[in-house]
Amino acid sequence: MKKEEILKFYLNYRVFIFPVVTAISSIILIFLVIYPQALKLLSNQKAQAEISKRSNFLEAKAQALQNYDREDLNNKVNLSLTSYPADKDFANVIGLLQNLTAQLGFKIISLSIGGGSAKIVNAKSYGVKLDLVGPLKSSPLLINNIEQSPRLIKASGIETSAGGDPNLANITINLEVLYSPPINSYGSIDSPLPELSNKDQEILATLQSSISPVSQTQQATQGASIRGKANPFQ
Amino acid sequence: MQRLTIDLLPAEFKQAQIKSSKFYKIQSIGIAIIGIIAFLASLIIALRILQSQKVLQLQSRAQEAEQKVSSFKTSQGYLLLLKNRLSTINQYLGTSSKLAQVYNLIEKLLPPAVSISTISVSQSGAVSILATSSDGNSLDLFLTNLLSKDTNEDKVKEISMENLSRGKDGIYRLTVNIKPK
Repeated sequence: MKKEEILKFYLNYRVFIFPVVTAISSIILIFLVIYPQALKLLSNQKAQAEISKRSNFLEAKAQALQNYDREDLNNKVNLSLTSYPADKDFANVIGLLQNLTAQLGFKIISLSIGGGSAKIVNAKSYGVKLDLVGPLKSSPLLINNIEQSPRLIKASGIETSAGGDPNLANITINLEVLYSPPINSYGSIDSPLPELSNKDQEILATLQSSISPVSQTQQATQGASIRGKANPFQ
Repeated sequence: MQRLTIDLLPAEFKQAQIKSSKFYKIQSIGIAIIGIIAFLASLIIALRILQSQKVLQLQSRAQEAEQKVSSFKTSQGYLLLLKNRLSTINQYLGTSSKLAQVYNLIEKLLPPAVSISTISVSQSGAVSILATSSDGNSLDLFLTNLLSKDTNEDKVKEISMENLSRGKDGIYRLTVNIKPK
């Protein structure tokens, strides 16, 4: 009886019932399937692009790293650390200063080491005070040679006074010797790989050419090693 | 010749015919809409499945590359350390400090007849000189050289003469302070 009534009701109002049912099912399909899936499709499109970008980046990075010779990189790092070390290298600096002063005929009266005051980001320094006796005319060249040496040293003060001999002068030079503790982070997997620019290669070539002959001559002359003479004030 | 048409169908039957043809139209439109929506839904789901597979492929590719990069971690460390050092070395290597530049300039401008008793140069390049000479013209030339833009290489900002005296021995003593630019 009820079934018949429902059928009769449907047959009477099917012109309205069918479109309503169609509309409701369409809306359900759109809101429960098409809309969320389309949204996910779009958001995944972005994620896919990002993953693809990351993958390409990592592949390029791996390829670039593969092209570097580890031994060569190690040598270059050692070269840069000779010029700008990770710690205080008193022996090296004393040896270098001894060489540079001796080359121009200066005699070291005293050499003292103290704290530094370099105002450079991520860099530290220690001070070296040199008391010398030598030709006044050569003092600019000496300062120039110290500052142009492969080891990063900057003059922070000069005092010159004439001695008894008109050609000789007492010279006090304050130097700032730069060094920097090693960096804590060696980069994450996703960090971009720094490239060695032409300028960097030039610097390395300069260091290579200036450090090698110095260390060779240091070993050759008067049995002095890179650590300096047994008595640095002689 | 005119045709005679006689409509013998009852009015209720005609109404029912019109009603059912209207319903068939609505029904076919509704089915078409449902069909289109179902097609769109299945298309989107298929695209999603393809996309998920692609994402999985890319993820495994990225993971492989990640492992490869990890195996070169030492080289990366060397490279970062090297770059870090070179950026500072680049700033200072081969460059002269202001102090050295001013000191060189003074030595260059000093006439042979003028001798330096004391000279002190601070980190900022400020210079204090005590010079002596038996020749007043040489001292004059020294000061002129320091003041002239052609000879002082535009490195001198200010000169202040603290003292100029001439002793019984005929020697001029000059104390001068120089501020660099």
